[in-house]
Amino acid sequence: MTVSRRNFLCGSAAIGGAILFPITRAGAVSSEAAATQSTEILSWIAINADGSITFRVPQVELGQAVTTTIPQILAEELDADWETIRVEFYDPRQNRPDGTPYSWTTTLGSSSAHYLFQPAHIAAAQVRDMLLSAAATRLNVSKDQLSTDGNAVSAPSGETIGYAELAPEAANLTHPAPESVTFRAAADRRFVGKPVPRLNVPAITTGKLVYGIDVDLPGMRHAAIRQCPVFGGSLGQVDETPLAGLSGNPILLRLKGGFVGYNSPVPEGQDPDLWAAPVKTDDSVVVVADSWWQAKSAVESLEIDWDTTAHADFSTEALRARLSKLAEGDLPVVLERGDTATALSAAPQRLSAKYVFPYMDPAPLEPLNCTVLVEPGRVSLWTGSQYPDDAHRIAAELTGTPPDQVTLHLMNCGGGFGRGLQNDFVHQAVQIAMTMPGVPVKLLWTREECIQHSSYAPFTVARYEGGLDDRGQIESWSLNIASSRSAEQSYGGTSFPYFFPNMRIGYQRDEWATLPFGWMRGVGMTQHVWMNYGFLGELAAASGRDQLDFYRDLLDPRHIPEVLETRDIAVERAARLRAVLDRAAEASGWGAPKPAGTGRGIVVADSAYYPGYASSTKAAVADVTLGEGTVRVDKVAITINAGTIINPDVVHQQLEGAVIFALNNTFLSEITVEGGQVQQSNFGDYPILLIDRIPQIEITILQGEGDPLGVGEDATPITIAAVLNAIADAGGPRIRSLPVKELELI
Amino acid sequence: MAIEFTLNGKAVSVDVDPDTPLLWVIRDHLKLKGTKFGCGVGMCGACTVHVDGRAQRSCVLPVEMAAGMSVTSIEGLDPEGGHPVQREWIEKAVPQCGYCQAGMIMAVSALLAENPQPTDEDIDMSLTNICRCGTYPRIRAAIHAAAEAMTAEAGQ
Ligand code: FES
Ligand code: FES
Repeated sequence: MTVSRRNFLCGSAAIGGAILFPITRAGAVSSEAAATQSTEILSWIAINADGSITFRVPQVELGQAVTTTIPQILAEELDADWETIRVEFYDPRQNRPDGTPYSWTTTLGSSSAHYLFQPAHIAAAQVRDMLLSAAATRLNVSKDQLSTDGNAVSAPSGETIGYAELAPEAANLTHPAPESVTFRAAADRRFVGKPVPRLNVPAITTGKLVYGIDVDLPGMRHAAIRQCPVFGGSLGQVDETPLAGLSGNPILLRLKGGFVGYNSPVPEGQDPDLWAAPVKTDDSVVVVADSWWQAKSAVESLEIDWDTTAHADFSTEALRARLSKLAEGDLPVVLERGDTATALSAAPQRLSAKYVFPYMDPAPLEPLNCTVLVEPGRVSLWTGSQYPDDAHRIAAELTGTPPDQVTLHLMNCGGGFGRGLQNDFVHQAVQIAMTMPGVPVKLLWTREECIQHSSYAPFTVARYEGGLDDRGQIESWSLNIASSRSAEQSYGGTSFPYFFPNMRIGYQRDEWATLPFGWMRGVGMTQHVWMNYGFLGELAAASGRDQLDFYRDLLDPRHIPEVLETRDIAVERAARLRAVLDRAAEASGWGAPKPAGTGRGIVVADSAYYPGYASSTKAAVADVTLGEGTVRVDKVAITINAGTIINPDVVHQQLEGAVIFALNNTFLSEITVEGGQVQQSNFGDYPILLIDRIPQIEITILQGEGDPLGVGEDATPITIAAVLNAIADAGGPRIRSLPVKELELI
Repeated sequence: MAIEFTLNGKAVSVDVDPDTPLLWVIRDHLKLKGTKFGCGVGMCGACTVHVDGRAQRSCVLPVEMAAGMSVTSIEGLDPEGGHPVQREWIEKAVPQCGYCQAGMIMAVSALLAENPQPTDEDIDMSLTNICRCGTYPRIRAAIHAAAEAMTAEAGQ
């Protein structure tokens, strides 16, 4: 076999004789150990007989650099020699619901660093403590006389014993309680907080990093798929005869569509709707052949009858009209303060506007793929899912195999941006492999299938009304959100951090819309932050105020109602937002004179979906220049406070990427539907920015404290908002519908 | 009928339908997986290889068109990663997910072979590969650094 879990990251040879701590051995946790141990530390570390150390990363690598940042945390507390680090992905069997050793394995909501920081610290410190105990016994000295460094324990006598030698003894010890172990002081950290070069970059630059698409197994066959072009349609007749003359021994399979699962973990007993959306597949036709090119050519040559009548009337034009109408009516209220209706009708100055966000496809560059081998009593799968535990569950349930006989080899993945949270492609691949036991098969979607059967950021219409008093203060704020199918995302409206005396927010989803919902970078904030700031900008302009002054004033705690239950949280949040806003304004020289035809926009936000949610705070300042029907984004500056930073260069990368993702959202990305069918099919009609239209990007990381906070998504919503406010500031149109059609990006 | 060409300096012969894109021949028949598939229609550049020294999108190049030619994939550029473009890609920490980067590196190394000191405008005009992760600012910086390194080495 050409692939093994160990080889993926470092291209290193398999290491023999790894000694695993009992807590780290797959499925071998003794009941006694399980009862007495904190469950979060399982499986992070293996000390290898050759002196190297293997770190297991409980998340997929999509470019967010977890295969470097998680090892940085582990190396820190273990006093490991960085040169000896090997990295593997976790095995979901070690993360079954009966003991979630890694706490969190889904890549969603920029949460990896935040959720994994403490568990990783604790696990590594516990392992270090056990190694110290083993050394203390051997040397007959007390533990506190010993020190660790470079994969070894040293005694005052000068004697040193390598971790590898101590590991078998250490492994037999009881784990120390998390409260009893010591951690390196923040000031003494050697890895955390440092721009440690990413471990997989050399492999990437030589083409050696192995992604899901690269899996190659002896005797493997290849599958290509065509899914019903209309969501919710069904498969009629397929004429198989063209296959007879084709090379590659093609065989045809018909897959019935159905429920796959949810696109995010749902805590037990909770309403799935608050956490996730259902994932479904559609009826599809698959050809399996000796090579993928043969399979793809064959499946594309088929005449297929699809019954699409049920949803053939669905279009984004019609959806826009339906949602607009909904948003103008009375929607179920999710937030109400004061008496908005009365205040609005009494307002000396009243504004209203409608904002529209289209469907978008996250479009990671690696097309969706999954390789599966079904054998008697066991299943193996290889994929770069963002929700691997659920991929594992799907394989076990579909095949009726005990979960401990299902091996998921998590693979490096060529981007995610939320698409990989939906395991529809895994579900299909398992079904295909079930028809050919003993034969590994790789399902690979074409780009066309990826774009036309994605899980889309939801089509959203928001209708705002605002009333200003005589002094230009906002007295009332009314917002109605109507969206296509989605997980509950009313937080897009309710989490806006500003308080007005009268506020009302309504929210409703329209199930008529057939396109499936998916998480996309920035989630609901990407749909809503620019809209909220757009309308707020309209009110600021109507009151003749400078954006920055206007927001600064609104963040004064006097606006926060005394009766608010979470007032303390709101006050603290406003102070945080204002501090970052001030720093961003300062860094960008806000207020300096601007040449004619240029404009600046500034916004500040966090991703506090609900009061108290731990989120980074960030501000964006955008500079644009308008021309004849054109706009150039000259510069986007991001200022962020994201708590403790694990790797500043990775934070820079993530924010640079999120800014560019936002420019795609702002100017290019749009999925439209006609006759129930997605109109776009590849990068020609769903374009992605190239190098020629990228602004200067400046990142300022503020000194932060506490656990690390999300960075991967967070520059996206604020960049959209800042750029659009800059366009208005430059004297350009107020953009109320994405992507921008009024101006061409140059 | 067997089609013969040179891949990374070695003569290869494959027995495939002649219209099979070179990309799939390299990946699935010759088992070199560094060259990636992103769109299949020549739009993204993830599949970029050198054919007789020029950057080509292998997903839209039927293998018969490469017959008798010399093809270089990322694995053949410099297996040790010592090409100045690879070195600067590491130095500037360009990749995020990395999926586009083999194609980028092949496109850039071909560009620099033709135009050793590209201006920003030259880069804008000639580098049309997609990076969905948005690594473009670092790509630009790395191209300039690689150009400098190559010029300095050539001058020695
Ligand atoms: S895969 Fe060849 S250009 Fe996209
Ligand atoms: S690094 Fe991910 S697509 Fe370029």
